[in-house]
Amino acid sequence: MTDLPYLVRRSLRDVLARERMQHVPFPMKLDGDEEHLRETMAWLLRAVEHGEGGVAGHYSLLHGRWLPPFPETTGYVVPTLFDYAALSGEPRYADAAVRLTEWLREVQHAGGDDDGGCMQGLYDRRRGKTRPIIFNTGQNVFGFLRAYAETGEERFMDSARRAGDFLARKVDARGVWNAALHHHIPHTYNARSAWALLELHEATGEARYAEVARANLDWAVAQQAENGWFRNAHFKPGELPNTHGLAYTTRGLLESYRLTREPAYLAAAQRTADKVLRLFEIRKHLYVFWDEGWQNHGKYFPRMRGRHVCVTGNVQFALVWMRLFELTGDAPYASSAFKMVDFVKTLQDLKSRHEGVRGGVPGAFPLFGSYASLKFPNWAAKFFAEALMLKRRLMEDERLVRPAPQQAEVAR
Amino acid sequence: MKVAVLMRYPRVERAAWKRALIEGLLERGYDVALVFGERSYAQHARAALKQYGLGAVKKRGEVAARPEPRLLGHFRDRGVPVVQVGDLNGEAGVRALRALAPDLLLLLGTGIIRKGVLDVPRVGTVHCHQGYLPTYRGVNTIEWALYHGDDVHITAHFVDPGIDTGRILQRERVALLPGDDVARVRERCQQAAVPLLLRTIDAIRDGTAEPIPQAAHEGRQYFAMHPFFVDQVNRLLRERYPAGGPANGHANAPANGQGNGLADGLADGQIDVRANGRH
Repeated sequence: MTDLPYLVRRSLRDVLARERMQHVPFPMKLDGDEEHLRETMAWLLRAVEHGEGGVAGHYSLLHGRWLPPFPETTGYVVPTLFDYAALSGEPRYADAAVRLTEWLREVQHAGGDDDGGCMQGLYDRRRGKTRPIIFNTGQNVFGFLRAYAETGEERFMDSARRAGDFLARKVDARGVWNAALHHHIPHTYNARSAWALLELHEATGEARYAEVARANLDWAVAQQAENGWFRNAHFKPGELPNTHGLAYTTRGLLESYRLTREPAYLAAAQRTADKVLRLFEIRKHLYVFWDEGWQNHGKYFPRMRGRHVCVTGNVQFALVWMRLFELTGDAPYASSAFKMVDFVKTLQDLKSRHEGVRGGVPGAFPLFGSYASLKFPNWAAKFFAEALMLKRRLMEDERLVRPAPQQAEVAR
Repeated sequence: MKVAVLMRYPRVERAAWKRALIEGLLERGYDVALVFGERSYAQHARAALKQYGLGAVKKRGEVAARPEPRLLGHFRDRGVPVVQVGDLNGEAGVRALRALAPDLLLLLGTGIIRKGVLDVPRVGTVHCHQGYLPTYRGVNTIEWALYHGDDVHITAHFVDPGIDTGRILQRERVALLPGDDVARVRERCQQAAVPLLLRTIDAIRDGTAEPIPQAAHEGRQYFAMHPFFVDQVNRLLRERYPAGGPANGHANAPANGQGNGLADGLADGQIDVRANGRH
């Protein structure tokens, strides 16, 4: 049943907040990182409890209930649960992570055929069945590898290898993923799947994983325009790329640079990250859809300038900027990321008695906006928790607290 | 030479350094006119809210309690022409400026000024940026320079449609002193802007100014610093220049003997003018 009273109240609040943001400085909430992290993780744990084995995909205010799990996001929630278990000393988060990984093994395609090791996507109406999906399979490698690292259970490594083998099998003659794709179109955001393969290469030493990863990363880099925008970063045919998909792509390239030290991946990630940072600093938040000139667009009325904010994409770019600081030591990245985290904190409701709302991160701002409308997606909470934990680490980083004098070109 | 001084907030503007600068221009014989934006209460309130958020109410109270006179009344009483417009970049603003026919525009805290306004003066538009150009463009550049361990500078430059990308006229280093925090350094930069701008405008009038173009690839645009970093800057300043620490005749010399310490021989409050021009 629809949570109508909350939905109306929250939508009104968001509209007023958006108008206020046109007139006031960055809407920062500087304190309470710990409380926000605790409530976000508690929300994720509730999503696990209601996830039919995985992590419930969303809490939907329209449906008034938790919705079924997505295998791909369940895969990348696993490392976040382990991270928080270590930080908080609460083993129930690690237990939940292990349970989720067991579920991922259950839904992993077990057959020895061509699709063996893959992860199925959602129900495909056109084909009347579920299909193997590259992105889903790639994201689960993160879960399997982390569960193996934490538990030492060989079955998790076995699942990671089988997923990796599927990814390595499903390339075309150029070594690029052109099959088993969402909506049957190639996506640059599979840079995240390439990152997962590089992690698998690190864990196993098998060269073919790295070869496939690099071929796909090179393809993704070739899709980038001079201004940092990516072709083929969209989710559905006919759509423009959204902030979420662009952030997936950028993070995939950045982490792949960390693992390969290939300067082209860092350069590509920085090109997009720098452009998006500038857009954020000037406009105070990032909208949902972007055309090739970085103009924002609406979803339903593409000719109109969309003013809806993709909250998860905002958090994901905060993560990209914080990781860029870690990789380059450039402090302004961290400053912008901290502002973004503060902005998202203002969108989180910590006082509500509603279990689907308290600690959840909305898909869009305003709540009815054109990304995961009227929903609290699990991946928004996952990336926000990851951002809060990374921010905590950075605030103790000697390079931020005691910056080395910069050799800037300044008269001395 | 006719100088139009552009400011905002006619209802509250009373900064002593701006008054000193305008009086300096008058004493030197310049034909000065003041042009204020944000004329109405609503425009003023909206602009103040944008700049200070909900702290605007407190800020308004603080400013109103200051003993200094409002610049608007102070200079109008002295016979200086004063023009008020709603939006400096708007049509009315451009029309008012054209009617004044200035040789030079001087920006004193106006926000971004559009090309339509910049096209009005015969000679150009001058601004004093709180930071070393071209290295530190944008906002909070004093804070970013301090954070990076660099000396603090101010730069007088011609304004073009970019963000702090116009030709550089003069630069000056501002000394750091024991007990400094960001607010004190900012205040000292404002005070230092008065003689720098007077010298710069004199040089433009006398034809001795030698503007240096900025290359597009030089420098970087900085954005507002997150409060966590401002806290770090204040802490670093306290560590490097503790209150009551030895001035030693080295205004920029950190107490621990580390850091740049390049303003040798400067007494408290003195401005190091040796950094003028390109080094």
